[in-house]
Amino acid sequence: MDKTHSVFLVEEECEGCTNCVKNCPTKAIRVHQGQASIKDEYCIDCAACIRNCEYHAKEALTTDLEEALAREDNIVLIPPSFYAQLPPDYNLSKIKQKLISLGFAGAVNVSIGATVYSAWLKNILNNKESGEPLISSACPVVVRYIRLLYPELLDLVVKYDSPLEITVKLINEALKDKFSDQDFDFYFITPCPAKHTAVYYPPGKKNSFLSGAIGVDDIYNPILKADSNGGNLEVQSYLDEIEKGFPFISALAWGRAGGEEENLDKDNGGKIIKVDGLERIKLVLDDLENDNLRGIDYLEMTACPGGCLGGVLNIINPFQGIVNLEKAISQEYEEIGDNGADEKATDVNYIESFEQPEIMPDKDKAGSFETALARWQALEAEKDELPGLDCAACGAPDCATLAEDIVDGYAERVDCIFMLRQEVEMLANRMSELVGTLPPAMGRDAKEAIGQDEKEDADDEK
Amino acid sequence: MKKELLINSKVREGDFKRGGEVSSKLKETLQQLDLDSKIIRKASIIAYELEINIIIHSYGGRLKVKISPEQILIIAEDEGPGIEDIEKALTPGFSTAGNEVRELGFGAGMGLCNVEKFSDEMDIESDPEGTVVRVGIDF
Repeated sequence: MDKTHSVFLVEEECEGCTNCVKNCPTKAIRVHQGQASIKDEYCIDCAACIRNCEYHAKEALTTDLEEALAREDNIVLIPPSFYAQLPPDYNLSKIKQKLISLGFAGAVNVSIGATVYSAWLKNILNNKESGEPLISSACPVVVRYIRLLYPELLDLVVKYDSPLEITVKLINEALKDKFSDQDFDFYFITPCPAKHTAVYYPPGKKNSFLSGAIGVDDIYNPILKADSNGGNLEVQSYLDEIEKGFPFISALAWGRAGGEEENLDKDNGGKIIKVDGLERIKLVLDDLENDNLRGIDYLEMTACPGGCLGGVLNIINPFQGIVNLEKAISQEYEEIGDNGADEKATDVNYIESFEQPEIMPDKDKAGSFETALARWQALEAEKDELPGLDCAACGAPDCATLAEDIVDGYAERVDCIFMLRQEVEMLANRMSELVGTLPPAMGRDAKEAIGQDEKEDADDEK
Repeated sequence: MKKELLINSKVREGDFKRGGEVSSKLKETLQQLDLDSKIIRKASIIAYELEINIIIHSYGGRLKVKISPEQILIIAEDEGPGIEDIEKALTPGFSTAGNEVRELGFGAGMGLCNVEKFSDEMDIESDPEGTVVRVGIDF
């Protein structure tokens, strides 16, 4: 993967409209010469452009299913939101069986990592002094959004691996105990481009434990068509035993907005709030930044409205998804039962491998204070010139952004059609003035003409 | 080098709808100036508290922000009625805000106390004609 984001443009589909430009929460897109281009250092993989493009010119890069199936010791990781995508008769064991007939050595439920995350966090929250709330690190888009636009709040992001990374690490360690001569690869079924990017640029660490992330949309049909039996179940039955050691059923709720909160809330006094959708996240972060939030200990934040169920690669709409997920959870309780593993997750001695979230290329720095100030002054002056209509016809999302592009040398003032119109008007006025001017021999007042000539001569001498 | 004026905005009495607008504009400006994020946070909190103070307690005023290579200076000027007891106003939890305002989540009495906490220097002049709060944040 050569870029730091998985959202990309399908050039031949782009009509050069500015829907993606206007809807990008980080102002990462410009349309130039009829093509949208993404500024790498601003893209956080939120997929707003994928949702908003009616020509389907924005897509998500994900790992090829064939590539994952070509590996011998390949384990696939199922996110809770994925259960909600499949028909009602697809319970956990059926999904796993189908994945094995497809060619995976085993399938694991990511909610086991969520139980470890919750247990760790409960402990942190129980000992937390009041003050600023902590922020969940589970959604990579949120972590990137904060890093880009609220860097001063980065310290509040929980420094712990995501449930996905935790699951892979735990499973890999367990597999090594039994299958010591095999080297396993791990593939996630991803509902969003951000989790694909997180395989290559995981928030908070240098290397992910994963080898790839396959899009829900790519694996959906193959699963439906796969046989319901067959394949070697040796690895799978071992994995099922490990899975049973975790209270993973209630953690399936992590698939939707509020699931993380509920799994924490059980023993905590309810000072945890869920915020889903980047617009609402912005509202909360703005207040948090101004120190205007009181009595909140923890913020569950998911960039997609509805949580992971709202992921752009999913098949089912997130509201139907909520119903499907609830059904799946009660079905699992009926089949497997409450496995009484609540204590177990608390016991897991998971060694975190989280460092500071340094996941995106840094933006250019302006240099010294004086240059930065001069740039800002130029920017304010440019903003005063531009019409302030935010029409995006220039290819930038609004006038303020165009002003920045002009000052930084990426655009010109006449990229704005109103400024262009003004220039043309001035030119036209000058032209009509010139047209009205006749040579002296044809009627210009002789005296005036002489005076003019003298002046021109004087100019020439200079 | 003389201090550059970054912001000079009017703040109206009781205008909660616009509450926070000046401080978000300040944040944007300071980000464009590539300042350290910790400084930006301090300045945002202070500007926000002062802005909300004008909205809640005064008959209206202005928020000005000046910057030099050494310091950000935030000045809140209002047209009264003045702070009766400045020392008391700086006590955490002390508030003269009415119930209506408290119900909106404002006026918890952390305002001036928070401003003091995040500033490097602070100076308050107040009489019934108005209040001027000057806050400096050093780089």
